[in-house]
Amino acid sequence: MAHAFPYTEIACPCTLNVSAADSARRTSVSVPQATDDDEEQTFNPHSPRANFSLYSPNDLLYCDDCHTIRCPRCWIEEIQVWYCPSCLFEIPGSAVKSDAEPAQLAGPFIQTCPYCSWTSLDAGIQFATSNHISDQLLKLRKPRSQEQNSDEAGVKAIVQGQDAPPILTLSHEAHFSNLTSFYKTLLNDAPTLNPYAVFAASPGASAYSSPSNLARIITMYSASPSKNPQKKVLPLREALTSAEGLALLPPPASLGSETEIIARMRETGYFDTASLEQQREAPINYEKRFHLGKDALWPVATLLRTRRTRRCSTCRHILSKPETKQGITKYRIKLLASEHILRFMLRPLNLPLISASGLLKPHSTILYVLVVRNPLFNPVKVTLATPSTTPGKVESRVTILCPDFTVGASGEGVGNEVWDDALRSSTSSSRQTSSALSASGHEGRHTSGVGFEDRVPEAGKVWERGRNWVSVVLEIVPGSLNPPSIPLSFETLSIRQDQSGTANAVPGAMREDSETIGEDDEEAVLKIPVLVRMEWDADAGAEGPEAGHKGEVAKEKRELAFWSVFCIGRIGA
Amino acid sequence: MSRPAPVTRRSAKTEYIETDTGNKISRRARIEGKQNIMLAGKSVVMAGATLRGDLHRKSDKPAEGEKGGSVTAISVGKASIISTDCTIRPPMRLSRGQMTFYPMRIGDNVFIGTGTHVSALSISSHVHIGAGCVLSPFCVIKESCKILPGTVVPSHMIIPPGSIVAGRPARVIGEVGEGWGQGGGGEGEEYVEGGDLRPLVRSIK
Ligand SMILES: [Zn+2]
Ligand SMILES: [Zn+2]
Ligand SMILES: [Zn+2]
Repeated sequence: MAHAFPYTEIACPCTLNVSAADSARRTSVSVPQATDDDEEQTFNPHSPRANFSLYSPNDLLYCDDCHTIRCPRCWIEEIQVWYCPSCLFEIPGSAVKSDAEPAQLAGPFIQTCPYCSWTSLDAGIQFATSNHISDQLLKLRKPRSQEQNSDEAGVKAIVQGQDAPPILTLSHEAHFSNLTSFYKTLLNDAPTLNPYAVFAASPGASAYSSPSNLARIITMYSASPSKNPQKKVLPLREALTSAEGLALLPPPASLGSETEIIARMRETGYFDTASLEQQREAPINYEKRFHLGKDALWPVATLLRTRRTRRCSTCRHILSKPETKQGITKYRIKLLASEHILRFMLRPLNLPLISASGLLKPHSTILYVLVVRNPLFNPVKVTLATPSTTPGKVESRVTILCPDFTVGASGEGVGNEVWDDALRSSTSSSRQTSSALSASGHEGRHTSGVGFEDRVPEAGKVWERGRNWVSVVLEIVPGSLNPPSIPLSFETLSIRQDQSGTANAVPGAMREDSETIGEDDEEAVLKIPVLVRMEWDADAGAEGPEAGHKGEVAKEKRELAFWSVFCIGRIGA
Repeated sequence: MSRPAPVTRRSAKTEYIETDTGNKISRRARIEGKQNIMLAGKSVVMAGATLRGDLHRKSDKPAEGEKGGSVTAISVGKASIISTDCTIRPPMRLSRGQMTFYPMRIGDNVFIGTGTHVSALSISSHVHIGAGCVLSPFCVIKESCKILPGTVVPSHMIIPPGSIVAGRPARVIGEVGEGWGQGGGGEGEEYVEGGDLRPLVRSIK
């Protein structure tokens, strides 16, 4: 989803297996040494796989049993409630698959679209009652598909004449049932060859439920060559004829030839044609080209929405549980990652260095302030590590001036904190909101804090410090989108060699085949991977037996490491 | 609840006029039918925004001689922000042969992005609406929704709570997580979409 720069994302540790102990050795100054282990290498936010492991901190949960971050890939969901997205009526689980709607009024009904003024009358559809719409649609559809289908025997006869091209007059339903039976016979013929046969044989039952199934699956996945060489492994084939469920494009003759379609478009105009998006919405509409007439788009049922409980997939601990009362959207339980791990916020130290276009200038140093906020009730020792040049096609240089520091504990009551901060911000406030205002089209004058401009950031020193937050300065030199084919300087070259120690990582060699990167390219976004390591003494199990008197709570060492990505902005050409 | 009518003019040069309850109204906003608009307090109306409080249901008296200052056309909750160049226009429809306006309700901590046109029946609390959207007449936005910039919500559409909405026409494309509106508010922290907007309101001067 589109964010306003700068923003931060977090890679869930479940996707990377970061070991906390290993990260201890890495700092921004000493570049991490390349290891044999792939998983220990620098996280590349530009790699296609990164898309699947990066999350906004607010979208992550935390398992306080496993003491780690949990993401959609490592939590499991249980549906608690189904409800209609339009009337918000909750549907009991038993009735979900039937057509259960509360309203029941008499009279003919039609469906209308308030956006484009389409009505179901355009497709010749009218309803007797306002409920059981799906059932009514199905009944309305049956005579149509039969009419389309002439009769099934006839279709088969045509298909079996091998020479003639198969004439596809099958309805969507007929296609579907043909394809289903084709796959069923295919799997029944060769049950030992295919693990999916298990699923086909016993729908709904677990594939792993019977020992023989399990054994079959294990054979499938074991690397050893076939134990029965006499049995030839036949590859699964796809449907070849329309009797088997094959559907061919261009669309069937019954829908009219291409020229007919063009003629009709000329007559009715562009707005009567169905968009690709509408066609893709459901298989039933794949071949529908128009909004009107008997071959028009067919209404598709609205899917119900759900409210779900989320559990840790490792220990089954509940991570979030919505309130069960109807209409209440709050949560009874929610373990947010943002309340258990450090929170980051970035802002430029000196704004003018960003050009009017909002793009970052290559090769000109910019300074960013990183505010690290601690939500925990104990002080946290923080280590930040980043490669000195960003991974990806554009190599920007990054230095965290103070990668090691301790952040104080969050206050007992939230109220205290708010007051503290309110007092603090009353003196120099407008800073953090200027971006919000400019986002809303308001010409926010950027006033940096009192006297801040005169201060020079120093290596090894934190920039500012509050009770439960610390800010440090990042020095960033954005790389060029179109680097020369030879390294810019010996300095960059030596850094590359330092980092990987292998010859093929020399920039000149890498860039030989590199295409130029446009400003709109994903690689043009300056993304800084930072390995974050937090260490703290936690109050050992609150539920444990008397941990002594007040003030003598037993402590327990904890640590957590994860990759975070700071997305600074787009680099200009 | 109080009305913005009694205005304390401190200095003629400020962008915003602050009411007794802490509402901030830009001098460059266009407010019609003031007496029919309720702002609960600490809410902001920015420059160029238009609020059509004059479009309200006429009192039962047949003549056009409207007197009822007690009719509410637009009510806005606490710490909500109406950005620059927005139009807030109560929805209307023909009812018994007469064009009738319906009152619009906007909840607490609602952010409406710049240039957005609002004719919704109601917008619940903690909703974040991007710039350049159209909320067509009688649509209903339930709480904790995020409407991405440029979305066109068709009339009468109901958007269930916690939805992420985009497109023309609007479709629900996702759900906001458990963390919607969490965090923020402290010094050094950005205000959070869907969260407490008071720090943002405080900073607007
Ligand atoms: Zn995960
Ligand atoms: Zn439509
Ligand atoms: Zn767990």
